[in-house]
Amino acid sequence: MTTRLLAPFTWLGSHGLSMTQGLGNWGSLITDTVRALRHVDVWGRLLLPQLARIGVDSIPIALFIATFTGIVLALQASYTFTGAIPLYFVGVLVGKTMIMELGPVLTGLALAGRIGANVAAEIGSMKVTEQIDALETLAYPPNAYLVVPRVLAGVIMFPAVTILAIGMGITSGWVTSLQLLDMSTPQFVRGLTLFFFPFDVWFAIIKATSFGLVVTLVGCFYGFHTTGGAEGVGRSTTKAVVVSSMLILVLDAFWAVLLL
Amino acid sequence: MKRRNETLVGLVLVLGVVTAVFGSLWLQGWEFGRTVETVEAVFSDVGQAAEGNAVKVRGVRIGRIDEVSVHPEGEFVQVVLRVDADVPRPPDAAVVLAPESMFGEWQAEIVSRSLYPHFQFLDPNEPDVLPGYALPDISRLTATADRISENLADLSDRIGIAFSEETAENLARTIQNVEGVSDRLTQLIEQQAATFDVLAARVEEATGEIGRAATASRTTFDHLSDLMATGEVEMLLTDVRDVAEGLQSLTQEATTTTSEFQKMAVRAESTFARVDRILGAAEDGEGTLGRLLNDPTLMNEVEATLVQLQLLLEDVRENPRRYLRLSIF
Repeated sequence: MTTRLLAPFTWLGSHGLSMTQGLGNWGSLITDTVRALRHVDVWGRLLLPQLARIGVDSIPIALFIATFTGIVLALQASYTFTGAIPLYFVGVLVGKTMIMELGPVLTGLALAGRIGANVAAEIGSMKVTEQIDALETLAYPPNAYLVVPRVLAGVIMFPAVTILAIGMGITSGWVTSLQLLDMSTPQFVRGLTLFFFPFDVWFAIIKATSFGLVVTLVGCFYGFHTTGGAEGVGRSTTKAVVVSSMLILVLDAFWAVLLL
Repeated sequence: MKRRNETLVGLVLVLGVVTAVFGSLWLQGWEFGRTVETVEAVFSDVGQAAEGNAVKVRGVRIGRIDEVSVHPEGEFVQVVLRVDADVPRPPDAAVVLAPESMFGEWQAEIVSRSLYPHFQFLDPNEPDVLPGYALPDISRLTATADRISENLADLSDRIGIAFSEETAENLARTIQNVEGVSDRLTQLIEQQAATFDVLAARVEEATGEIGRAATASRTTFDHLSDLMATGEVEMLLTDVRDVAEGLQSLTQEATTTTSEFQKMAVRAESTFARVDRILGAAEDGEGTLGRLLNDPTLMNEVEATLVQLQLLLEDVRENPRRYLRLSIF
Protein backbone atom coordinates (compact mmCIF):
# COMPACT_ATOMS: atom_id res chain seq x y z
CA MET A 1 0.00 0.00 0.00
CA THR A 2 2.76 2.37 0.99
CA THR A 3 4.76 1.41 -2.08
CA ARG A 4 1.81 2.28 -4.35
CA LEU A 5 1.33 5.63 -2.71
CA LEU A 6 4.98 6.43 -3.14
CA ALA A 7 5.17 5.20 -6.72
CA PRO A 8 4.55 8.59 -8.37
CA PHE A 9 7.22 10.16 -6.25
CA THR A 10 9.57 7.33 -7.05
CA TRP A 11 8.84 7.80 -10.77
CA LEU A 12 9.33 11.52 -10.51
CA GLY A 13 12.59 11.17 -8.63
CA SER A 14 13.89 8.51 -10.97
CA HIS A 15 13.14 10.54 -14.08
CA GLY A 16 14.37 13.72 -12.45
CA LEU A 17 17.66 12.07 -11.68
CA SER A 18 17.81 10.62 -15.15
CA MET A 19 17.17 14.02 -16.75
CA THR A 20 19.70 15.68 -14.52
CA GLN A 21 22.18 12.97 -15.35
CA GLY A 22 21.42 13.44 -19.05
CA LEU A 23 21.92 17.20 -18.79
CA GLY A 24 25.13 16.57 -16.93
CA ASN A 25 26.30 14.20 -19.61
CA TRP A 26 25.44 16.78 -22.28
CA GLY A 27 27.23 19.48 -20.35
CA SER A 28 30.20 17.22 -19.89
CA LEU A 29 30.33 16.40 -23.60
CA ILE A 30 30.11 20.02 -24.63
CA THR A 31 32.66 21.15 -22.09
CA ASP A 32 35.09 18.41 -23.02
CA THR A 33 34.62 19.17 -26.69
CA VAL A 34 35.31 22.86 -26.21
CA ARG A 35 38.38 21.98 -24.17
CA ALA A 36 39.45 19.55 -26.85
CA LEU A 37 39.56 22.35 -29.40
CA ARG A 38 43.05 23.18 -28.19
CA HIS A 39 44.32 19.79 -29.41
CA VAL A 40 44.57 20.97 -32.95
CA ASP A 41 47.35 18.49 -33.63
CA VAL A 42 44.93 15.71 -32.86
CA TRP A 43 41.74 16.81 -34.62
CA GLY A 44 43.42 18.86 -37.38
CA ARG A 45 44.55 15.88 -39.41
CA LEU A 46 41.21 14.17 -38.91
CA LEU A 47 39.12 17.11 -40.07
CA LEU A 48 39.59 16.68 -43.81
CA PRO A 49 38.32 13.10 -43.96
CA GLN A 50 35.33 14.11 -41.89
CA LEU A 51 34.64 17.08 -44.17
CA ALA A 52 34.67 14.69 -47.09
CA ARG A 53 32.48 12.12 -45.40
CA ILE A 54 29.97 14.52 -43.89
CA GLY A 55 29.93 17.12 -46.68
CA VAL A 56 31.01 15.79 -50.03
CA ASP A 57 29.50 12.35 -49.60
CA SER A 58 26.19 13.89 -48.54
CA ILE A 59 25.81 16.03 -51.62
CA PRO A 60 24.11 13.44 -53.84
CA ILE A 61 21.33 12.70 -51.37
CA ALA A 62 20.89 16.42 -50.58
CA LEU A 63 20.67 17.37 -54.25
CA PHE A 64 18.35 14.49 -54.99
CA ILE A 65 15.93 15.55 -52.29
CA ALA A 66 16.18 19.22 -53.31
CA THR A 67 15.55 18.44 -56.97
CA PHE A 68 12.26 16.71 -56.35
CA THR A 69 11.29 19.21 -53.69
CA GLY A 70 11.71 22.00 -56.23
CA ILE A 71 9.61 20.14 -58.81
CA VAL A 72 6.82 19.47 -56.34
CA LEU A 73 6.89 23.04 -55.04
CA ALA A 74 6.52 24.50 -58.52
CA LEU A 75 3.68 22.18 -59.42
CA GLN A 76 1.84 22.67 -56.15
CA ALA A 77 2.30 26.42 -56.37
CA SER A 78 0.81 26.55 -59.87
CA TYR A 79 -2.04 24.32 -58.71
CA THR A 80 -2.71 26.60 -55.75
CA PHE A 81 -2.34 29.87 -57.63
CA THR A 82 -4.61 28.95 -60.52
CA GLY A 83 -7.07 31.79 -60.92
CA ALA A 84 -6.65 35.19 -59.38
CA ILE A 85 -2.97 35.04 -58.42
CA PRO A 86 -0.47 35.61 -61.22
CA LEU A 87 1.65 32.64 -62.18
CA TYR A 88 4.92 34.41 -61.46
CA PHE A 89 4.15 33.84 -57.79
CA VAL A 90 5.36 30.28 -58.43
CA GLY A 91 8.83 31.79 -58.41
CA VAL A 92 8.09 33.55 -55.13
CA LEU A 93 6.93 30.37 -53.48
CA VAL A 94 9.72 28.16 -54.83
CA GLY A 95 12.41 30.69 -53.93
CA LYS A 96 11.17 31.66 -50.49
CA THR A 97 10.30 28.11 -49.45
CA MET A 98 13.51 26.57 -50.69
CA ILE A 99 15.75 29.24 -49.19
CA MET A 100 14.08 29.74 -45.84
CA GLU A 101 12.50 26.43 -45.01
CA LEU A 102 12.66 23.32 -47.10
CA GLY A 103 16.27 23.68 -48.24
CA PRO A 104 17.78 23.76 -44.75
CA VAL A 105 15.23 21.51 -43.03
CA LEU A 106 15.03 18.73 -45.62
CA THR A 107 18.80 18.74 -46.03
CA GLY A 108 19.17 18.70 -42.24
CA LEU A 109 16.74 15.80 -41.87
CA ALA A 110 18.39 13.86 -44.67
CA LEU A 111 21.80 14.42 -43.18
CA ALA A 112 20.51 13.62 -39.71
CA GLY A 113 19.60 10.18 -40.99
CA ARG A 114 22.83 9.72 -42.80
CA ILE A 115 25.40 11.54 -40.67
CA GLY A 116 23.76 11.20 -37.27
CA ALA A 117 23.36 7.45 -37.67
CA ASN A 118 26.85 7.12 -39.08
CA VAL A 119 28.49 9.02 -36.24
CA ALA A 120 26.45 7.30 -33.51
CA ALA A 121 27.12 3.87 -34.95
CA GLU A 122 30.82 4.52 -35.44
CA ILE A 123 31.46 5.95 -31.99
CA GLY A 124 29.04 3.50 -30.37
CA SER A 125 30.93 0.60 -31.89
CA MET A 126 34.20 2.04 -30.63
CA LYS A 127 32.59 2.47 -27.24
CA VAL A 128 31.28 -1.10 -26.93
CA THR A 129 34.55 -2.50 -28.21
CA GLU A 130 36.44 -0.33 -25.69
CA GLN A 131 38.43 1.44 -28.37
CA ILE A 132 37.64 4.75 -26.68
CA ASP A 133 39.07 3.43 -23.46
CA ALA A 134 42.15 2.44 -25.43
CA LEU A 135 42.46 5.96 -26.75
CA GLU A 136 42.36 7.32 -23.25
CA THR A 137 44.93 4.77 -22.24
CA LEU A 138 47.15 5.98 -25.05
CA ALA A 139 46.68 9.57 -23.80
CA TYR A 140 44.61 10.54 -26.80
CA PRO A 141 41.82 12.89 -25.76
CA PRO A 142 38.77 11.04 -27.13
CA ASN A 143 36.75 14.22 -27.71
CA ALA A 144 39.57 15.80 -29.72
CA TYR A 145 39.95 12.60 -31.69
CA LEU A 146 36.31 11.71 -32.23
CA VAL A 147 33.98 14.62 -31.49
CA VAL A 148 35.74 17.82 -32.59
CA PRO A 149 36.48 16.79 -36.21
CA ARG A 150 32.94 15.56 -36.71
CA VAL A 151 31.27 18.56 -35.11
CA LEU A 152 33.51 20.99 -37.00
CA ALA A 153 32.88 19.13 -40.24
CA GLY A 154 29.15 19.26 -39.59
CA VAL A 155 29.20 22.99 -38.80
CA ILE A 156 31.29 23.77 -41.90
CA MET A 157 29.73 21.43 -44.44
CA PHE A 158 26.05 21.55 -43.55
CA PRO A 159 25.70 25.19 -44.76
CA ALA A 160 27.64 24.44 -47.94
CA VAL A 161 25.54 21.40 -48.73
CA THR A 162 22.37 23.29 -47.85
CA ILE A 163 23.26 26.18 -50.18
CA LEU A 164 23.90 23.77 -53.01
CA ALA A 165 20.61 22.02 -52.25
CA ILE A 166 18.78 25.33 -52.31
CA GLY A 167 20.34 26.18 -55.65
CA MET A 168 19.36 22.80 -57.04
CA GLY A 169 15.81 23.08 -55.72
CA ILE A 170 15.31 26.51 -57.28
CA THR A 171 16.82 25.31 -60.54
CA SER A 172 14.54 22.29 -60.69
CA GLY A 173 11.56 24.50 -59.87
CA TRP A 174 12.57 26.87 -62.67
CA VAL A 175 12.96 24.02 -65.19
CA THR A 176 9.61 22.60 -64.10
CA SER A 177 7.96 26.00 -64.54
CA LEU A 178 9.39 26.31 -68.03
CA GLN A 179 8.58 22.80 -69.16
CA LEU A 180 5.33 22.00 -67.40
CA LEU A 181 3.71 25.30 -66.45
CA ASP A 182 4.09 27.37 -69.62
CA MET A 183 5.99 30.02 -67.70
CA SER A 184 8.85 32.05 -69.10
CA THR A 185 12.21 32.58 -67.47
CA PRO A 186 11.56 36.33 -66.86
CA GLN A 187 8.29 35.46 -65.17
CA PHE A 188 9.94 32.94 -62.87
CA VAL A 189 12.87 35.24 -62.14
CA ARG A 190 10.50 38.12 -61.41
CA GLY A 191 8.75 36.01 -58.80
CA LEU A 192 12.09 34.78 -57.49
CA THR A 193 13.42 38.29 -56.96
CA LEU A 194 10.17 39.90 -55.92
CA PHE A 195 10.34 39.36 -52.17
CA PHE A 196 13.97 38.31 -51.84
CA PHE A 197 16.00 39.77 -49.04
CA PRO A 198 19.70 38.97 -48.37
CA PHE A 199 18.68 38.06 -44.85
CA ASP A 200 16.87 35.04 -46.29
CA VAL A 201 20.24 33.49 -47.19
CA TRP A 202 21.70 34.32 -43.79
CA PHE A 203 18.67 32.76 -42.19
CA ALA A 204 19.26 29.54 -44.15
CA ILE A 205 22.96 29.51 -43.29
CA ILE A 206 22.30 30.05 -39.59
CA LYS A 207 19.78 27.25 -39.55
CA ALA A 208 22.00 24.87 -41.50
CA THR A 209 24.94 25.58 -39.21
CA SER A 210 22.87 24.89 -36.12
CA PHE A 211 21.52 21.71 -37.70
CA GLY A 212 25.05 20.51 -38.45
CA LEU A 213 26.08 21.19 -34.87
CA VAL A 214 23.07 19.39 -33.44
CA VAL A 215 23.24 16.36 -35.73
CA THR A 216 26.92 15.69 -35.10
CA LEU A 217 26.74 16.43 -31.39
CA VAL A 218 23.74 14.15 -30.90
CA GLY A 219 25.45 11.39 -32.88
CA CYS A 220 28.58 11.75 -30.78
CA PHE A 221 26.58 11.87 -27.54
CA TYR A 222 24.65 8.68 -28.17
CA GLY A 223 27.75 7.01 -29.53
CA PHE A 224 29.69 7.86 -26.38
CA HIS A 225 26.88 6.54 -24.20
CA THR A 226 26.32 3.32 -26.04
CA THR A 227 26.07 0.24 -23.86
CA GLY A 228 25.12 -3.32 -24.51
CA GLY A 229 27.09 -4.45 -27.51
CA ALA A 230 25.74 -4.50 -31.06
CA GLU A 231 22.18 -4.14 -29.89
CA GLY A 232 23.16 -1.08 -27.91
CA VAL A 233 24.82 0.35 -31.01
CA GLY A 234 21.55 -0.09 -32.88
CA ARG A 235 19.61 1.62 -30.11
CA SER A 236 22.06 4.49 -30.00
CA THR A 237 21.90 4.89 -33.74
CA THR A 238 18.12 4.99 -33.71
CA LYS A 239 18.06 7.42 -30.80
CA ALA A 240 20.59 9.66 -32.49
CA VAL A 241 18.53 9.86 -35.67
CA VAL A 242 15.24 10.42 -33.86
CA VAL A 243 16.56 12.99 -31.41
CA SER A 244 18.55 14.91 -34.00
CA SER A 245 15.52 14.99 -36.31
CA MET A 246 13.36 16.28 -33.49
CA LEU A 247 15.92 18.86 -32.51
CA ILE A 248 16.15 20.01 -36.12
CA LEU A 249 12.42 20.76 -36.14
CA VAL A 250 12.60 22.40 -32.72
CA LEU A 251 15.52 24.53 -33.83
CA ASP A 252 13.65 25.39 -37.03
CA ALA A 253 10.81 26.82 -34.96
CA PHE A 254 13.26 28.41 -32.54
CA TRP A 255 15.10 30.32 -35.24
CA ALA A 256 11.83 31.36 -36.86
CA VAL A 257 10.59 32.77 -33.57
CA LEU A 258 13.91 34.38 -32.79
CA LEU A 259 14.85 35.85 -36.17
CA LEU A 260 11.66 36.46 -38.15
CA MET B 1 42.81 9.60 -51.43
CA LYS B 2 43.73 12.50 -49.22
CA ARG B 3 44.34 14.77 -52.21
CA ARG B 4 41.06 13.76 -53.73
CA ASN B 5 39.27 14.59 -50.48
CA GLU B 6 40.99 17.95 -50.31
CA THR B 7 39.95 18.78 -53.82
CA LEU B 8 36.38 17.70 -53.34
CA VAL B 9 35.95 19.48 -50.03
CA GLY B 10 37.51 22.64 -51.40
CA LEU B 11 35.31 22.44 -54.45
CA VAL B 12 32.15 21.99 -52.41
CA LEU B 13 33.03 24.84 -50.08
CA VAL B 14 33.90 27.22 -52.90
CA LEU B 15 30.81 26.22 -54.80
CA GLY B 16 28.68 26.77 -51.74
CA VAL B 17 30.16 30.21 -51.04
CA VAL B 18 29.94 31.29 -54.68
CA THR B 19 26.36 30.08 -54.93
CA ALA B 20 25.38 31.93 -51.77
CA VAL B 21 27.14 35.19 -52.61
CA PHE B 22 26.36 35.51 -56.29
CA GLY B 23 22.90 34.03 -55.87
CA SER B 24 22.10 36.64 -53.23
CA LEU B 25 23.45 39.47 -55.34
CA TRP B 26 21.58 38.28 -58.43
CA LEU B 27 18.33 37.87 -56.53
CA GLN B 28 18.78 41.38 -55.13
CA GLY B 29 18.79 42.65 -58.68
CA TRP B 30 22.46 43.32 -59.19
CA GLU B 31 23.25 43.79 -62.84
CA PHE B 32 26.67 42.34 -63.38
CA GLY B 33 28.75 44.17 -65.99
CA ARG B 34 26.67 47.37 -65.92
CA THR B 35 27.61 50.80 -64.64
CA VAL B 36 25.41 51.76 -61.73
CA GLU B 37 24.98 54.94 -59.76
CA THR B 38 23.04 55.93 -56.69
CA VAL B 39 20.26 58.51 -56.79
CA GLU B 40 18.69 59.94 -53.68
CA ALA B 41 15.08 61.02 -53.36
CA VAL B 42 13.04 62.37 -50.47
CA PHE B 43 9.46 61.56 -49.51
CA SER B 44 7.07 62.56 -46.81
CA ASP B 45 5.94 58.93 -46.67
CA VAL B 46 7.05 55.82 -48.54
CA GLY B 47 3.99 53.61 -48.13
CA GLN B 48 4.99 49.95 -48.40
CA ALA B 49 8.15 50.57 -50.41
CA ALA B 50 11.15 48.66 -49.11
CA GLU B 51 14.72 47.85 -49.98
CA GLY B 52 15.01 45.66 -53.05
CA ASN B 53 11.88 47.02 -54.79
CA ALA B 54 12.25 47.75 -58.47
CA VAL B 55 13.18 51.15 -59.88
CA LYS B 56 11.71 51.82 -63.31
CA VAL B 57 11.84 54.39 -66.05
CA ARG B 58 8.93 54.29 -68.48
CA GLY B 59 8.04 50.87 -67.10
CA VAL B 60 11.51 49.36 -67.71
CA ARG B 61 13.39 48.12 -64.67
CA ILE B 62 16.70 49.98 -64.34
CA GLY B 63 17.61 49.27 -60.74
CA ARG B 64 16.36 48.75 -57.23
CA ILE B 65 15.76 50.58 -53.98
CA ASP B 66 18.99 50.32 -52.05
CA GLU B 67 18.15 52.02 -48.78
CA VAL B 68 15.13 53.49 -47.02
CA SER B 69 15.71 55.56 -43.92
CA VAL B 70 13.97 58.25 -41.94
CA HIS B 71 15.81 61.57 -41.79
CA PRO B 72 17.58 62.06 -38.43
CA GLU B 73 15.26 64.95 -37.60
CA GLY B 74 12.26 62.92 -38.68
CA GLU B 75 11.08 65.44 -41.25
CA PHE B 76 11.09 63.14 -44.26
CA VAL B 77 12.20 59.77 -45.58
CA GLN B 78 15.38 59.38 -47.59
CA VAL B 79 15.42 56.70 -50.27
CA VAL B 80 18.57 55.70 -52.09
CA LEU B 81 18.03 54.22 -55.54
CA ARG B 82 20.67 52.10 -57.25
CA VAL B 83 20.08 52.56 -60.95
CA ASP B 84 21.73 51.94 -64.31
CA ALA B 85 23.88 54.97 -65.06
CA ASP B 86 23.42 54.63 -68.83
CA VAL B 87 19.67 55.22 -68.74
CA PRO B 88 18.82 58.91 -69.28
CA ARG B 89 16.46 60.57 -66.84
CA PRO B 90 14.06 63.46 -67.52
CA PRO B 91 15.44 66.96 -66.77
CA ASP B 92 12.71 67.58 -64.20
CA ALA B 93 12.98 64.08 -62.79
CA ALA B 94 10.93 63.06 -59.77
CA VAL B 95 10.27 59.72 -58.12
CA VAL B 96 6.82 58.24 -57.63
CA LEU B 97 6.39 55.30 -55.29
CA ALA B 98 3.41 53.14 -56.17
CA PRO B 99 2.16 49.58 -55.80
CA GLU B 100 3.57 47.43 -58.58
CA SER B 101 0.63 45.06 -58.44
CA MET B 102 -2.25 44.14 -56.16
CA PHE B 103 -0.09 41.70 -54.21
CA GLY B 104 1.93 44.02 -52.04
CA GLU B 105 5.10 44.69 -54.00
CA TRP B 106 5.97 48.33 -54.67
CA GLN B 107 8.08 50.11 -57.21
CA ALA B 108 9.82 53.44 -57.59
CA GLU B 109 9.30 55.06 -60.98
CA ILE B 110 11.45 57.96 -62.17
CA VAL B 111 9.11 60.29 -64.03
CA SER B 112 8.96 63.80 -65.42
CA ARG B 113 7.48 65.99 -62.72
CA SER B 114 5.57 68.09 -65.24
CA LEU B 115 3.50 65.05 -66.17
CA TYR B 116 2.04 64.87 -62.69
CA PRO B 117 1.26 68.46 -61.63
CA HIS B 118 -1.39 67.31 -59.14
CA PHE B 119 1.08 65.16 -57.16
CA GLN B 120 2.38 66.89 -54.05
CA PHE B 121 6.06 66.09 -54.41
CA LEU B 122 8.28 66.77 -51.42
CA ASP B 123 10.85 69.28 -52.61
CA PRO B 124 14.40 68.58 -51.43
CA ASN B 125 16.81 71.15 -50.11
CA GLU B 126 19.73 69.85 -52.14
CA PRO B 127 19.91 70.11 -55.92
CA ASP B 128 21.09 66.54 -56.55
CA VAL B 129 18.23 65.01 -54.57
CA LEU B 130 15.04 64.19 -56.44
CA PRO B 131 11.58 65.15 -55.17
CA GLY B 132 9.37 62.21 -54.32
CA TYR B 133 5.74 61.33 -53.87
CA ALA B 134 4.14 58.07 -52.69
CA LEU B 135 0.73 57.05 -53.89
CA PRO B 136 -1.66 55.77 -51.24
CA ASP B 137 -1.49 52.02 -50.89
CA ILE B 138 -4.36 49.60 -51.01
CA SER B 139 -4.69 49.53 -47.23
CA ARG B 140 -5.29 53.28 -47.15
CA LEU B 141 -7.75 53.07 -50.00
CA THR B 142 -9.46 50.24 -48.20
CA ALA B 143 -9.59 52.31 -45.02
CA THR B 144 -11.10 55.20 -46.95
CA ALA B 145 -13.60 52.88 -48.57
CA ASP B 146 -14.40 51.54 -45.13
CA ARG B 147 -15.13 55.06 -43.86
CA ILE B 148 -17.29 55.74 -46.89
CA SER B 149 -19.21 52.52 -46.33
CA GLU B 150 -19.72 53.47 -42.68
CA ASN B 151 -21.06 56.85 -43.74
CA LEU B 152 -23.33 55.20 -46.25
CA ALA B 153 -24.59 52.82 -43.59
CA ASP B 154 -25.25 55.77 -41.29
CA LEU B 155 -27.03 57.58 -44.10
CA SER B 156 -29.15 54.57 -44.93
CA ASP B 157 -30.09 54.24 -41.28
CA ARG B 158 -31.21 57.84 -41.21
CA ILE B 159 -33.18 57.35 -44.40
CA GLY B 160 -34.76 54.29 -42.82
CA ILE B 161 -35.79 56.37 -39.80
CA ALA B 162 -37.08 59.24 -41.93
CA PHE B 163 -39.01 56.99 -44.29
CA SER B 164 -42.07 56.40 -42.09
CA GLU B 165 -45.60 55.44 -43.16
CA GLU B 166 -46.68 59.07 -43.04
CA THR B 167 -43.75 59.99 -45.27
CA ALA B 168 -44.78 57.28 -47.67
CA GLU B 169 -48.33 58.62 -47.81
CA ASN B 170 -47.01 62.12 -48.33
CA LEU B 171 -44.79 60.85 -51.04
CA ALA B 172 -47.72 59.07 -52.68
CA ARG B 173 -49.77 62.26 -52.57
CA THR B 174 -46.86 64.21 -53.90
CA ILE B 175 -46.49 61.75 -56.74
CA GLN B 176 -50.20 62.08 -57.52
CA ASN B 177 -49.88 65.86 -57.46
CA VAL B 178 -46.88 65.67 -59.68
CA GLU B 179 -48.90 63.49 -62.04
CA GLY B 180 -51.69 66.10 -62.10
CA VAL B 181 -49.21 68.88 -62.65
CA SER B 182 -47.62 66.81 -65.33
CA ASP B 183 -50.99 66.38 -67.12
CA ARG B 184 -51.63 70.10 -66.92
CA LEU B 185 -48.20 70.84 -68.17
CA THR B 186 -48.84 68.46 -71.03
CA GLN B 187 -52.03 70.26 -71.92
CA LEU B 188 -50.33 73.61 -71.63
CA ILE B 189 -47.53 72.43 -73.80
CA GLU B 190 -50.01 71.17 -76.39
CA GLN B 191 -51.78 74.54 -76.33
CA GLN B 192 -48.52 76.34 -76.54
CA ALA B 193 -47.54 74.10 -79.37
CA ALA B 194 -50.74 75.02 -81.27
CA THR B 195 -50.14 78.68 -80.48
CA PHE B 196 -46.61 78.33 -81.61
CA ASP B 197 -47.85 76.75 -84.81
CA VAL B 198 -50.10 79.74 -85.47
CA LEU B 199 -47.39 82.09 -84.44
CA ALA B 200 -44.95 80.30 -86.65
CA ALA B 201 -47.37 80.58 -89.55
CA ARG B 202 -47.74 84.28 -88.87
CA VAL B 203 -44.07 84.70 -88.50
CA GLU B 204 -43.66 82.91 -91.77
CA GLU B 205 -46.23 85.20 -93.33
CA ALA B 206 -44.56 88.23 -91.80
CA THR B 207 -41.28 86.97 -93.05
CA GLY B 208 -42.78 86.80 -96.50
CA GLU B 209 -44.08 90.32 -96.12
CA ILE B 210 -40.71 91.47 -94.90
CA GLY B 211 -39.18 89.76 -97.86
CA ARG B 212 -41.54 91.51 -100.21
CA ALA B 213 -40.96 94.80 -98.41
CA ALA B 214 -37.29 94.22 -98.73
CA THR B 215 -37.74 93.62 -102.43
CA ALA B 216 -39.78 96.79 -102.72
CA SER B 217 -37.23 98.67 -100.68
CA ARG B 218 -34.54 97.37 -102.91
CA THR B 219 -36.52 98.58 -105.92
CA THR B 220 -37.07 101.92 -104.22
CA PHE B 221 -33.44 102.19 -103.38
CA ASP B 222 -32.65 101.37 -106.97
CA HIS B 223 -34.97 104.14 -108.13
CA LEU B 224 -33.50 106.45 -105.52
CA SER B 225 -30.09 105.57 -106.76
CA ASP B 226 -31.18 106.38 -110.30
CA LEU B 227 -32.69 109.65 -109.14
CA MET B 228 -29.53 110.54 -107.29
CA ALA B 229 -27.58 109.75 -110.38
CA THR B 230 -29.75 112.11 -112.51
CA GLY B 231 -29.67 115.03 -110.00
CA GLU B 232 -33.41 115.06 -109.47
CA VAL B 233 -32.98 114.30 -105.85
CA GLU B 234 -30.73 117.31 -105.45
CA MET B 235 -33.38 119.52 -107.03
CA LEU B 236 -35.99 117.94 -104.87
CA LEU B 237 -33.89 118.55 -101.81
CA THR B 238 -33.44 122.21 -102.85
CA ASP B 239 -37.23 122.58 -103.22
CA VAL B 240 -37.71 120.85 -99.91
CA ARG B 241 -35.16 123.20 -98.38
CA ASP B 242 -37.06 126.23 -99.80
CA VAL B 243 -40.33 124.83 -98.55
CA ALA B 244 -38.71 124.25 -95.20
CA GLU B 245 -37.49 127.82 -95.07
CA GLY B 246 -40.99 129.04 -96.01
CA LEU B 247 -42.46 126.81 -93.40
CA GLN B 248 -39.96 128.18 -90.91
CA SER B 249 -40.95 131.80 -91.62
CA LEU B 250 -44.59 130.79 -91.58
CA THR B 251 -44.01 129.13 -88.30
CA GLN B 252 -42.40 132.28 -86.93
CA GLU B 253 -45.33 134.34 -88.11
CA ALA B 254 -47.72 131.84 -86.70
CA THR B 255 -45.81 132.01 -83.47
CA THR B 256 -46.07 135.81 -83.45
CA THR B 257 -49.73 135.66 -84.36
CA THR B 258 -50.28 133.07 -81.74
CA SER B 259 -48.63 135.23 -79.09
CA GLU B 260 -50.70 138.22 -80.18
CA PHE B 261 -53.71 136.04 -80.31
CA GLN B 262 -52.91 134.92 -76.81
CA LYS B 263 -52.60 138.52 -75.65
CA MET B 264 -55.86 139.33 -77.37
CA ALA B 265 -57.42 136.30 -75.80
CA VAL B 266 -56.24 137.52 -72.44
CA ARG B 267 -57.73 140.90 -73.12
CA ALA B 268 -60.91 139.34 -74.44
CA GLU B 269 -61.06 137.19 -71.41
CA SER B 270 -60.75 140.21 -69.15
CA THR B 271 -63.27 142.05 -71.29
CA PHE B 272 -65.63 139.14 -71.13
CA ALA B 273 -65.10 139.07 -67.41
CA ARG B 274 -65.94 142.72 -67.14
CA VAL B 275 -68.96 142.28 -69.40
CA ASP B 276 -69.92 139.33 -67.33
CA ARG B 277 -69.66 141.38 -64.17
CA ILE B 278 -71.63 144.25 -65.82
CA LEU B 279 -74.28 141.86 -67.02
CA GLY B 280 -74.40 140.30 -63.60
CA ALA B 281 -74.75 143.68 -62.01
CA ALA B 282 -77.34 144.61 -64.61
CA GLU B 283 -79.27 141.43 -63.86
CA ASP B 284 -79.04 142.20 -60.20
CA GLY B 285 -80.53 145.61 -60.95
CA GLU B 286 -77.48 147.57 -60.06
CA GLY B 287 -76.58 150.72 -61.96
CA THR B 288 -78.54 152.51 -64.60
CA LEU B 289 -78.56 149.63 -66.99
CA GLY B 290 -79.71 147.32 -64.28
CA ARG B 291 -82.47 149.53 -63.22
CA LEU B 292 -83.31 150.06 -66.85
CA LEU B 293 -83.46 146.34 -67.40
CA ASN B 294 -85.27 145.49 -64.23
CA ASP B 295 -87.50 148.56 -63.66
CA PRO B 296 -90.44 148.64 -66.15
CA THR B 297 -91.24 152.18 -65.05
CA LEU B 298 -88.11 153.55 -66.46
CA MET B 299 -88.71 151.64 -69.64
CA ASN B 300 -92.14 153.01 -69.85
CA GLU B 301 -90.88 156.54 -69.25
CA VAL B 302 -88.18 156.08 -71.80
CA GLU B 303 -90.68 154.82 -74.29
CA ALA B 304 -92.96 157.78 -73.51
CA THR B 305 -90.01 160.12 -73.80
CA LEU B 306 -89.11 158.57 -77.10
CA VAL B 307 -92.68 159.01 -78.29
CA GLN B 308 -92.75 162.69 -77.22
CA LEU B 309 -89.31 163.16 -78.75
CA GLN B 310 -90.62 161.72 -81.96
CA LEU B 311 -93.64 164.10 -81.80
CA LEU B 312 -91.30 166.95 -81.11
CA LEU B 313 -89.15 166.10 -84.09
CA GLU B 314 -92.19 165.91 -86.29
CA ASP B 315 -93.32 169.26 -84.98
CA VAL B 316 -89.89 170.73 -85.53
CA ARG B 317 -89.93 169.41 -89.04
CA GLU B 318 -93.32 170.92 -89.65
CA ASN B 319 -92.82 174.17 -87.76
CA PRO B 320 -89.12 174.89 -87.83
CA ARG B 321 -89.60 178.61 -87.20
CA ARG B 322 -91.18 177.87 -84.00
CA TYR B 323 -88.05 176.45 -82.77
CA LEU B 324 -85.28 178.04 -84.96
CA ARG B 325 -84.68 181.72 -85.53
CA LEU B 326 -81.99 182.80 -88.00
CA SER B 327 -80.83 186.44 -88.11
CA ILE B 328 -77.94 188.04 -89.80
CA PHE B 329 -76.71 190.99 -87.76
